[in-house]
Amino acid sequence: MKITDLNVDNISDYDEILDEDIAESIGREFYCGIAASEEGEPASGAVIWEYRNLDDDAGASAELMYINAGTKEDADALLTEFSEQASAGNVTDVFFETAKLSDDAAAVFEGHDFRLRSDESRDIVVSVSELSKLAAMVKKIPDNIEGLDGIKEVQFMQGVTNCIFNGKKGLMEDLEYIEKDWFAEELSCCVITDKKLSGLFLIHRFPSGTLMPVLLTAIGPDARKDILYMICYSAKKVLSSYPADTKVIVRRHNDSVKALAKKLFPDRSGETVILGEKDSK
Amino acid sequence: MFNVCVMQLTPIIILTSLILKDEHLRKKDTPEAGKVFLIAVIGIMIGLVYLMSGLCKFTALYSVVPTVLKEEPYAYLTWGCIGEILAAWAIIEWNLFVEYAIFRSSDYEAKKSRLFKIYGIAVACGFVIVYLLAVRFLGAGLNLISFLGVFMFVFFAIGIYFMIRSVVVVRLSRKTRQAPSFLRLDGFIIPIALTYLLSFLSIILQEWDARSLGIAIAVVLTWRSVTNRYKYVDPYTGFFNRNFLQSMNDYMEKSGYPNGIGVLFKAPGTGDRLVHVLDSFKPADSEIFSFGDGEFLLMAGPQKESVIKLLINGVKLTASEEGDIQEIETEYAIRNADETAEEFTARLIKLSEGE
Repeated sequence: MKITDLNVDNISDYDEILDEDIAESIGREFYCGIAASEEGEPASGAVIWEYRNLDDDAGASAELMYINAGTKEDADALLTEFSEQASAGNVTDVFFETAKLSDDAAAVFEGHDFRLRSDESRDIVVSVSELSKLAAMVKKIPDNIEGLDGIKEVQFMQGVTNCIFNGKKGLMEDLEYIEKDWFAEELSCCVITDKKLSGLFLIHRFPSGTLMPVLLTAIGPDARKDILYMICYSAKKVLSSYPADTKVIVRRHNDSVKALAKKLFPDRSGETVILGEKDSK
Repeated sequence: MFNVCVMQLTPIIILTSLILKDEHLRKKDTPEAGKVFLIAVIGIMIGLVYLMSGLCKFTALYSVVPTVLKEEPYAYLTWGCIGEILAAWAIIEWNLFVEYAIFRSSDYEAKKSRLFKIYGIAVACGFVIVYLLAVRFLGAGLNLISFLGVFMFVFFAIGIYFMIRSVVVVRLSRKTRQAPSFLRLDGFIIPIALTYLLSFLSIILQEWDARSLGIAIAVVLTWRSVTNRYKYVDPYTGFFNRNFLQSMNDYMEKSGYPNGIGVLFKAPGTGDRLVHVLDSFKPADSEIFSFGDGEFLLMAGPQKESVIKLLINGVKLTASEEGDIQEIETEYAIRNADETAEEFTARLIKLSEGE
């Protein structure tokens, strides 16, 4: 079995086994990927993961963002290679969430010390049409809420620096490396207080057209109100620019987002998925 | 009458001489000076109002009130109501001062100030309208006295509410690390609370009101804490100086001060331009120390090297685009795991001295 590291130069060769949305991640700072193939055959499996907390002395972690391993041989080869690369990066914890996993692949994961269970996904998927209630929550958006397309690159850098210094990165482990145009600038917005960016709501548009908020934070005495205004601003923009059936993925990655999602979408819950965890303890 | 004059003229003299002696207060050239000046002026107005209120009992010095209220106790109570509105206003302005001292956000303070002004104008207009209606329809008598008495107590309670609110705001803000604000709550609250207590008794006993004296003492003590801060802070830029860094070093660890990284920026001869650039880029929860001649040290909590580089690149880009500064020297240091906060600060000071 041949294992190939995925990179920006060869990623287009693996269109058939990679989802276009995840393929876009290759090239990002903490994303790595490998593909498995028999000699002379097209690739039959791939794994893409993201490293987290690489500077943490207690040990880094990794999340398997994409798993495509239909056969036992594919899964075994991919996991073996992943484990070697992860150990070199001092990774102690690994986890993943996937919609489906074949029995063969599941057995291989368990053989590699993963604990598997079925549970609710952290993601809830809503359509653009469901955002109309959000957009109506506030009648008048204050003047200090601006679209990302209306601010300069240097202002964006200041806003991102402000967020990172205050420990706010959202889903973006590599926020300091990402350019402004990676985000959907016409949908994303910011709060300007005392001529500085004190809040950001960043939304990414995947190649498939799916939208995903990746950072929502505000710093300052009016932070809660600012967050509400930013959500309403972006909701209005999305409603006016995208078809009603466009999907929006809300990833409930921490307690604050879970609480907010429960308030905004009380009737929505995640699909049942397979969760896998492995730690060195 | 002599007691009334002394009680009310003393704070007027104290506040007037404070304003005349202090250049910052006279020019109102810093945000704190503007706010304390306003509170001082309100204190002077309160002194004048209570002077009139007290003199009502002794002479026929009624001027602006309608005919029926030129008699005791109506004139006294009318001036008393005006005094209560002014006292509440002083405490509301002090609330705004407290919030500015904590959050250092002009936009936020301006928003709150606008809101309070709208309510204040609405209440003042409401008072005038209701007062004139009460005079017209209730006329002289116990009903009018009761109305004026209730009105005074309402504003008395508003003053107490905003005093308590300021304590709550400060306590809530301490849950997250805040830069030392040199804010002395006790410097304002203790004299005001004592005089409120005396005033409460005076309302019942119909004796003199010491509120304006309390406000005068409170303003003097508050302004003193502001000027103490100026020993360590440039009043115009808000940046701390080297004296502060050296004197804070003994308390670094206990203070919870941001002490994970230090970034030095040097651009000699750029005057105020680098100040504006750094001020516009400074992340929240970081502090900038001005060492003079275009040299500044930014300190913040622990960050990765990639983030420090983002900060440096951002400052340089802002400096070239908006400050017309093409060259800035930078150096940075990251605190080691086994280094104490004091050792790290000492290392940063040596870094700035070129060692």
